[in-house]
Amino acid sequence: MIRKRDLVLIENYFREYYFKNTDRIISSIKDFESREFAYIDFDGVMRRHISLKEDEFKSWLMENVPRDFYHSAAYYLFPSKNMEAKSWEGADLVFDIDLDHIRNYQTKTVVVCIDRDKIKILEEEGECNGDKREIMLLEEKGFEIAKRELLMLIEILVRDFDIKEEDINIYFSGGRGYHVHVLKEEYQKLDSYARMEIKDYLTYDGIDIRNIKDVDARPFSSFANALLKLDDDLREVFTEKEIEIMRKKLEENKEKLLMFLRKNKVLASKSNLFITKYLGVQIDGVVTVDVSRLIRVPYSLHGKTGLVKKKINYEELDQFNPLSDAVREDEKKVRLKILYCPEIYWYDGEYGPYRKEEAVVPFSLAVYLVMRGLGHGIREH
Amino acid sequence: MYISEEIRWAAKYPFDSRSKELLELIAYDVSEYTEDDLRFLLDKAYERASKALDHKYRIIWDNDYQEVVTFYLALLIIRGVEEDYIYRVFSDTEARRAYDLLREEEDKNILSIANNLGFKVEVEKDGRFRLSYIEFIKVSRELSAIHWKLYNFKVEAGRVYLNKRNLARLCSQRIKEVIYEMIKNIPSVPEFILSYSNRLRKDKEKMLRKIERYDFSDMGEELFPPCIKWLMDRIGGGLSHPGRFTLVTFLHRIGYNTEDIINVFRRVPDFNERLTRYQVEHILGMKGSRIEYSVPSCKKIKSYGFCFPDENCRYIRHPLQYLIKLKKRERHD
Ligand code: SF4
Repeated sequence: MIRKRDLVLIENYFREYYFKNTDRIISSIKDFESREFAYIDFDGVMRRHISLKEDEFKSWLMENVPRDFYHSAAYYLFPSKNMEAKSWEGADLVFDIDLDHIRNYQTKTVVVCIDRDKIKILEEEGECNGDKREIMLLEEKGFEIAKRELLMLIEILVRDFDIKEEDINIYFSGGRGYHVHVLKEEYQKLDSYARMEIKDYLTYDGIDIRNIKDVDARPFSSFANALLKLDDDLREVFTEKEIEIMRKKLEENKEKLLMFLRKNKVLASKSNLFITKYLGVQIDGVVTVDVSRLIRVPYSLHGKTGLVKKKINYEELDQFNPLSDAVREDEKKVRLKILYCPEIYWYDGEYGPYRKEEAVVPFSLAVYLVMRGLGHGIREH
Repeated sequence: MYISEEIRWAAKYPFDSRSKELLELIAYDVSEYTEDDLRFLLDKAYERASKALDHKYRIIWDNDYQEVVTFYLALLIIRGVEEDYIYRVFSDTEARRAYDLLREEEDKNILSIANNLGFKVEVEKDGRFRLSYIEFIKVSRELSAIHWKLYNFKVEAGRVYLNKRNLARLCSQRIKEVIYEMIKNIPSVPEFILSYSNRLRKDKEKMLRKIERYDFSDMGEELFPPCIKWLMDRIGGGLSHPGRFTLVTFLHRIGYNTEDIINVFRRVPDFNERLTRYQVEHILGMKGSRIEYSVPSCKKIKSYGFCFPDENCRYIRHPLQYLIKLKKRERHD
């Protein structure tokens, strides 16, 4: 449904961005020439197993403008050969926090009805004779929820794993979350199994509280904390009475509580459920475990949002709002026919709500709306 | 340190680098053990090797010197059997023996063993030990997956906190590998030792036959029920969780051990041993936590979508019944 003319304009906008940001991308990727690159072009075709030389990078980018651009977390001897022949030499340790994988977030959506070339928004129970489609919307609230997970992740990396803050590279993913790249030498050689242990340490996957060996083990001490603070989520899993009993044990000491749970099958399995569901960091584990994973290129543009995968300093994290801070620096504005856009803070101010009207918006917002089928007819402002 | 203490040490931990040095000082040339007055040591070594294959060992003895020498002679006898499985069982038993001794050991001694095994361990004031969590992950993978998950332990500033027993267990894992390597690295075995090896091989014939039975070459995969065959055919393309679960529990039930099951998955082109081991142990390891997983019923398998019944599937409710049925038929034929 995306019109060719709009796509061409977006492609040009991307090309121009890449022309100006080539060096920034090169300097953000450690060991650039031992990475595999991959991209989705503006016809939606995925191309893989590409290796690039730094000095040819700009001309390559101008010729093959990526709509979505990825590099391998891995370092290879032969990045462009097929998987078996690449010769794996190591990989960054990466973590992906994405709203798709966050349980307590309900994505904001709008349902539209596409009937031949007419599009309308379906309120509650509207009739639709054509193709009904649910469209995901970005909102600040979602980013804040993702940020909570991100902060938990960083805390564990620093405190438990002793990874220095300067080795932790935090990025806004360009889409609906955050990426963390740990570039430390010592982690590069870890195989999938070791990464799985690290992932499980964060998510608490498969935990059985009865196997906890130390009351200071993180999942158990977080659980004790939740009990002490009377965390609201406790009631999602336990009855008042159960909470009361466990708190009594905990008041004696942590050991007592652990011993008690070891003997109580029902409460133990409820605790396991609570710990994985409410206390674990919600990362997309596959990304961490897979040692040949492709990950979005730092400072590339996200094809569905027009936003930059931008690096965030730890100190700025608190203030960081992707919808204003991850827009390219030389953003320009365009005129666009908008089917629907809720009120949203984007780049430099409030936009919308728009409903079947023409408006002047930042180009990235136009990309976002066009790629979702919520807008068309980009014109110079 | 007095020489008697050194020998005591070697008697307890003959695989330790310190002990190996000592042995060069005190041992006779191997051939001399055939002399009448030393031959009894060879018999003792034989006994040690044979018992070890039945998972038996001792932690109390009265002559340190003999305890050291019999270990080294037993290594030779084991090597002469030329059977990887035997090497492994022997290493495993000897590592268990070391574990029992280490558990009771003084802090400074267990530290010395740990360091010689390549672990960089520190002791805390409260008697707990600290080990780099990365190193921990690298060894713990060989142990029961559910008990040795990193999250079961306290981790702080890049270190895992362990008590003496935990550390002894990690050491014994490494010790097993060290002893196995010691056996493998023996280039050749003298003639007179080989006679002991052959005797041992005869003695353990039953045990060796048992492993042969689990050998894939005559496992008769062609007799497996259709659902399992279907899964076996698709290992290469990756199995869904219920698929892997069904296959692993099935193979386990008919007598495959963890290694055997991992070998089945070895056929996959991008086989990842550690990942597979982890997944298999995860499924089988549940036993330790008292949740025993059994092979899913036909009804379950049907709901998973890989039940493709053939004529032998009639009147059965469980894939294992399929095998039983075929076996019965065989007897009647
Ligand atoms: S009937 Fe049972 S044994 Fe036969 S294919 Fe189906 S699940 Fe397997």
